[in-house]
Order: sequence, then structure tokens, then C-alpha cells
Amino acid sequence: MGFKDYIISESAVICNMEAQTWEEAVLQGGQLLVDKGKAKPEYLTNIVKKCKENGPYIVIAPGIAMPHARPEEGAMGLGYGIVTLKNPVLFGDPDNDPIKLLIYLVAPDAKDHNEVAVSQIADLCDNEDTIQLLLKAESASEIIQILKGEDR
Amino acid sequence: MVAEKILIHNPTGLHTRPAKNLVGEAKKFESDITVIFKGKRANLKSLIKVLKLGISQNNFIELLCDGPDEQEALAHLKNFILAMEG
Repeated sequence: MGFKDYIISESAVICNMEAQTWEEAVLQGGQLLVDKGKAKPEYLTNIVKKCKENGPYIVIAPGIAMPHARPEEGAMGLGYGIVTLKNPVLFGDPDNDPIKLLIYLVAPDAKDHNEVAVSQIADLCDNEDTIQLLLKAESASEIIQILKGEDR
Repeated sequence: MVAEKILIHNPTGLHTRPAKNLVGEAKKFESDITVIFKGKRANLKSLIKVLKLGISQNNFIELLCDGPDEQEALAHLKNFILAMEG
């Protein structure tokens, strides 16, 4: 199942989540993956740990982060999640801060991860109109409607 | 314009962290830098455009550099890719 189909069918969306810091945002939003059995809780703590060690590698564009770790770091199944933040958080990436949209990704296979999942998320992020709509959405159902309406 | 084919050898390919580092290196040059993979072209100075290509280990990419510092850019980026780990 592709990224958008997954988000739509699983309603894997949190809109206007409240978080004070980037760590809190990553851990709290990532429950979308844990609750659906797609990732172990350590998948999320690994993301935080790696960001602290290597810098905010998950920040991929202005306002957007893509929290993910490697398959062997706690992945259980292919899963995605979209979280918008009520108040943006700072990741320490001057080119792209503040971050308001988190797009989660977990994949048990490195090849799927890179060639399929990441490129589908990058496709979405490359559509500025859709990103602006997602950032303005006021409910999870509105976010799902935006994805349903987006031309592929 | 100068161009060269390069093999991606690091296990995770041009995945987020290595790709982000590579984009950072490309931005240091004035030349236009394009990566071509499976017939698709992307601006190497845009992480999103690069991630869209989905480049993995053992894929060949072609780097095109065009501009005043094209020679230095190509040499530097090739070495950077060959030295990538992780």
C-alpha cells in the first residue's frame, strides 16, 4: 500500500498536536506507528537519539520533518503518519526551522524504505500547494480529504 | 558542462542523512548541479528533489555540473559520494 492510501485507510493523522519541544513532538506523534503495531517504542527513542548525535537528519524541507530510523532500529511493518503541530518547534536546523509538519515513516525493508516510501513522501513535499493546505487544516478529517483530493 | 557516472556504494543509498549531507556540499558551488537517475533529472541542491528519485546502493547516477566552478564541483562531489558511509 502506498503512502497516501495508508494514511487515508488507517486515518494515521494527528492535527494540531501540542508539543513544547522537538523531542516531545517526535515521541508523542510517533505513537501513531506504535499504536498500530508498525514500530516498537524504541524506534522513536532511536530517532531522538540519532538526531542528538548526528544533527536533525529528519528535517527535509522548510517546516517539514520526516521522522524515521533504520529497519533494524525497531521497525515492525510498513507504516506512515502525518502530524501537524499547533505551535511549531525548533530542531536546530536554521535553513528549515521552525517545523510544523511531521511525516512519519517506518519500513521493515531498506530497499522499500528508500525507493518507495521516501520518494512518495518527497513527492508530496514537493507539492507546495498541498503542503500549505495541510498546514492550514484544522482537523484530521480535513487532512485526509486534502490527500484524497490531491492529483497523483 | 562536465559530467560523470558514479556508483552509489554506501548501504543506505542516497537516503535522508547522506543525501542531506550531499545536498549541503552541492550548495557550496555556484554551478548548476544536476543528478540523473533512470532518465529522471533532479537539482542536487534540493533535498526533496533528490529524495524523489529513490536512489539506492549499487545504483549508477550521473552528475552534471554546469557553471564557473564546474570542474571543482564535479571532482569534489564525486569524492564526497565515494567517501560516503552508512
